[in-house]
Amino acid sequence: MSEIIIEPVTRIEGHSKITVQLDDAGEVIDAHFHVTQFRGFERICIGRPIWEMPSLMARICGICPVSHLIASAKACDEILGVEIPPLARRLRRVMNLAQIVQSHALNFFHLSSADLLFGFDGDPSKRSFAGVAEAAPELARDGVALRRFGQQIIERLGGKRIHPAWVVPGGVSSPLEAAQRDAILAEVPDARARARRTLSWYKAHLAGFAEEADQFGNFPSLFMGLVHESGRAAYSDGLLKVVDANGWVLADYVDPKPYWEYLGEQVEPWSYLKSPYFKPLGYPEGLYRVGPLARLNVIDRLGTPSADAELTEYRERLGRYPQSSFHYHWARLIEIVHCIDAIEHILSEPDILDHHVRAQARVNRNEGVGVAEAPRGTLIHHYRVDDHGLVESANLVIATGHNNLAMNAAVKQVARHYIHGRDVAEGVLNRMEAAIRCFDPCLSCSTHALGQMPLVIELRAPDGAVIGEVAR
Amino acid sequence: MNASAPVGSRDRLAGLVVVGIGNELRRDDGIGVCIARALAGSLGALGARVVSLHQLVPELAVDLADARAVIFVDAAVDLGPGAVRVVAPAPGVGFGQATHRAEPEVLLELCAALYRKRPAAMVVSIGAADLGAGCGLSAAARRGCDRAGEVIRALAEVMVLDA
Repeated sequence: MSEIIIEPVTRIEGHSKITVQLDDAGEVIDAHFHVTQFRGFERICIGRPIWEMPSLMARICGICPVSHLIASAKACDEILGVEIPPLARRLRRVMNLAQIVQSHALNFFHLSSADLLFGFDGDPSKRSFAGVAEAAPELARDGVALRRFGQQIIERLGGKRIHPAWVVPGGVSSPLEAAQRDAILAEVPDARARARRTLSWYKAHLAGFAEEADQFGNFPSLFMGLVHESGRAAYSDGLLKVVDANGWVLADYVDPKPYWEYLGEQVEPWSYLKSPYFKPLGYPEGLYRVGPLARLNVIDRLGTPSADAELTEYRERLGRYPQSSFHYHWARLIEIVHCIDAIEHILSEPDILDHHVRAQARVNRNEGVGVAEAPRGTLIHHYRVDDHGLVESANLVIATGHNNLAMNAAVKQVARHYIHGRDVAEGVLNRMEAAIRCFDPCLSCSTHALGQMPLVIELRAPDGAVIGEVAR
Repeated sequence: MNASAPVGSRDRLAGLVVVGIGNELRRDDGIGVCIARALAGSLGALGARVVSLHQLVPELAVDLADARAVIFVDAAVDLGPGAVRVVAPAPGVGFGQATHRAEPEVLLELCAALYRKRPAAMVVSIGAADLGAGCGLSAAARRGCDRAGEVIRALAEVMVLDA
């Protein structure tokens, strides 16, 4: 038996490696995705006042600080015991939607589009965003512009595009100004045109990736996400829904706050990333997926007409409950369209400039849970505080963590399909990375580490000895 | 002299972008942001665009595509505390995987690749004395800020005239 190691995994956010264990005949026995970085934000925040928590938690990530800002603020809202003004809820939603646009654009254009443009066996020297800019400059420009669209909204609302403040316990710190609203709305048509052009480009290229779509994490699993009580998508609020591969509902519009009642968190010795599972089905059978693919599976509709038309086509081509993780890409692009439409819709509401955007209160409870949809999936912040509002304990269940079991299953599936023997072609390594990339993992978030996502594949013998290693 | 922006014109620095880079929670690392904030009023009144960023991001290429000249302002660890250096951006290593941060030259390469434009560019660096966690600049960095401000004002005029 032998083992392949891919380290570091590239074009993802954070540090990791993949190990593939082979038998004596060179066939894959097992494969693991190891997250090798550690941050420890759950410890860093002990003793801090809840008023600092949203801004402190936003520092977990430079890509999706807004998700942490919102989940943290929601946990703090509960500790204050306040119902935040409805307008504040909508304004928080605008910032969260903007972040989903920019984060999805980062994954699709900067990290993934090169594989789709040049193919998974394409020249590795071309398979980068630089290659995309050279070969398909319009596609690259659309990616840069869509990221800028989302980031500028975050900056306009929160003062800066990375680690903004503004979302605070009790609501948001200041109302929206007419100039801010008008500047954002003026940029919507251009963003929408770019998003729709990209969707058309993707759909035209999808047929060329039938094998990858069949092998990149294509297995039955549960899917989880927040859903509005009307059945439409909910990103900043909503109730939790869990469905299985056939659409059977296992958790139907349940309160997401007592997450410990239905989610377990397994710790494996080979990764700093926890492995959450759906408790009623046990470990590891309770494997579930979150993020764009899961969200589109648990909702009835998105809630904006043009995105719903895209969702209809998506379901007509892939079925009502697509199982392949490859389709995260398509789901991500549809969500971009929806988020742009939803931003426009919310900012066009007549009362959006009203001033009642924050509820003031002291500490009224000693525990709070905040749940929101991050770009990569459901995000949970859970704090316990003393009577003065100083944090005594914190538990963060991160979107990337929810997908840990699924990412491992995807790596194993790709390895079994493409690896037969010790000689592994570069295109196969790229596919193993790409299967992970479909999930858009953010390891800095999920292990509470700073860094890029470099990858190493290790080949190990039956006795565990490393007999081959491929690094980038 | 530039025909569209004569000396004395209120818009004579139109087309100039000043980018202050830094993290104000790491003391002197925030020098670039402090300088940008200090210059925003005076240079902005002359038509320049002054932005502050935690770190350079790829989408800034869109803004650079419309610029005639850009000045990046950042802290440096290879200079004496408070010392000021003006150089052209160092050669980049390509922007292959630039995602959520980039060096000035990488950003300029991205701008050239996407928009076929490359503004004139200089990097103003100020020597940092203290990069520890905390707010506020060291005394040496504050002195460097004042010197750098004067340098940037003069550089702005020259770069826009030459662009």
